[in-house]
Amino acid sequence: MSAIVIENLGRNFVTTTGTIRRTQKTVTALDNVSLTVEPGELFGLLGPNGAGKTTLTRILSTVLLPTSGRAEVLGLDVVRDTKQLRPRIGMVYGGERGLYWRLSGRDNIQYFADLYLVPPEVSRKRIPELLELVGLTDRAEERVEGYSRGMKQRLHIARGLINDPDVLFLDEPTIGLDPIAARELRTVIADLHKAGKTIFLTSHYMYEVDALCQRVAVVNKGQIVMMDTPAALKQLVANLEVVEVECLSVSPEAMSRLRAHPRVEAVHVDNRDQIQVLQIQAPGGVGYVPEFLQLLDGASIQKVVTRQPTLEDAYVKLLGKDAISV
Amino acid sequence: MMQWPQLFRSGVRASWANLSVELTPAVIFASRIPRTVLQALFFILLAYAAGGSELAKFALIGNMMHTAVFHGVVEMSFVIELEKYLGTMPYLIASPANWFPMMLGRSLTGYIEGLVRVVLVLIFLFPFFGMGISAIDLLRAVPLFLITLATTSALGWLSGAITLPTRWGALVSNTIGYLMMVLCGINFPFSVLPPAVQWMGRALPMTHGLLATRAVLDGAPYADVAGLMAIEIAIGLIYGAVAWILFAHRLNVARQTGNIEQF
Repeated sequence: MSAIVIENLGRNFVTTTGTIRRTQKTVTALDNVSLTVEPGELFGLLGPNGAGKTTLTRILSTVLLPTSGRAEVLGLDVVRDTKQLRPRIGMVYGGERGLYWRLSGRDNIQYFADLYLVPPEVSRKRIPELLELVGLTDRAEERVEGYSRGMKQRLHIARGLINDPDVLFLDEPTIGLDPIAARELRTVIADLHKAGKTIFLTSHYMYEVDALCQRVAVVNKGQIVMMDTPAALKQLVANLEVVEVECLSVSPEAMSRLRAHPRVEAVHVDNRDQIQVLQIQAPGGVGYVPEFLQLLDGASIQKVVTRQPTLEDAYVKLLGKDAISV
Repeated sequence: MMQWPQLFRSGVRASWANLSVELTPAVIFASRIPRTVLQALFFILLAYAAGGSELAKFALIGNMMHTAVFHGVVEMSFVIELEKYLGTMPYLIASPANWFPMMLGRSLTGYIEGLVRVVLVLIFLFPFFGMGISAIDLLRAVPLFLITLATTSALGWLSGAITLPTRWGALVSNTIGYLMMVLCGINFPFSVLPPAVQWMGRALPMTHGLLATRAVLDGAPYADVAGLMAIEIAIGLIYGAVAWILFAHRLNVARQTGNIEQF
């Protein structure tokens, strides 16, 4: 039996604008999504902001109802069988919220242990183990309001594991963390996977999914664009080379000229402070660097490097201009 | 039901941790004590000016109860607002427990604080305006007082349930608290209100409990106020049942609309 089965799942939200003349608009967050996750698998859901990742996680963790289709976790329907399902799943939503800031780290976990009906004799043993797992033993008695963002995220993980769930939903767990904290958290996730947990991870960090997940689904505008292993996704761009150009003041006309070049398959623009980093995907791209630079006439070129494509490039190719919002 | 004591204890623990951070000596002595005593004093002096010592005593009893009730009503709503503010609501919704006992525990320290405020009013104002009330009658009134506090908590829950998907929790619960001040016979006899308004007051918790408390403080036996207390308890149960149903409905709707985290 699969750990997660999703069939033709859809979810619409009705939004209202205006104060006196109120206008309603229906937004489709999920559109006919189908996928399965096997027991013990670390499955990644990758997509830009607003793609529907959080909506899907919330439906699977019984917080939100779908508009259409069905979803089962551990063979239990997420709409009908919530009573049986909830004790068997854990969830961690990204960000700093979701904790009681005036309670200590230990008290936060204890609070959720009670909510998850963990027997006191079990929670007494499990809480120190979880604090140890996420590296918070030394700070366990401090109030959460004094924790760093990374510590809060690690506490979230411990909280999500308090009921020893069979399936763990992690919704962008490393969002906003500094690189070291994010790496530490990824280590924790990898350890949980090694311990046999089924993990459903959403992220918009390609390297995170690449490093952790066995399979990945790319979702955009509520639809699954592709689903395969990270290696297979990378095969999409195996014949490409990527030319990265760091520059200042690239005009829209220059970008249009570049995109129109017959060898260019995609251009992804990454704004880093005041510098724009153009990632130009082109077969045999190295040989065309002088031509590309000529097309960027007027821009101040700082640095040019060529490299082999990564999962990020496959993602850019799949999503086209929508990937820019990542 | 087996887990209710565990959940209640957990709620109390969380509530106490919250309160112990908030209530520093500076806050207690510079804000809580003066605010509680001065607010009650304001209305008592107003009553004294309007009707002499008898009306002042009337206002003293009314304000003593309202101080605790008001805090209780707002606290219930505040507990729910806090969940939304902290972003913990989705975790509560997705938890397998019935979190009613936990929420009850979470609001308990609010009640204790409300009772502390009553004691403050008693300590500071009773010697001056509580003429004719014996210590024995005061003790006899305590159970009625606590029952009334419990029945009005149902109103707090209803307020929290009504405003669950909105951003008006604090606004609505405060308005209800002040409305009770007008409608429940706190600062002036209930009978001076127009009949239609009296009807509204009778439909609220606290009104009958306060009438019973006043009677007991005047020396009436429990038997004389049993009817009033029965009505008070019935009103509290009705409010509690409506709050319970509405709360469950709101949570179900929130799962459909996905707006539970808005605040």
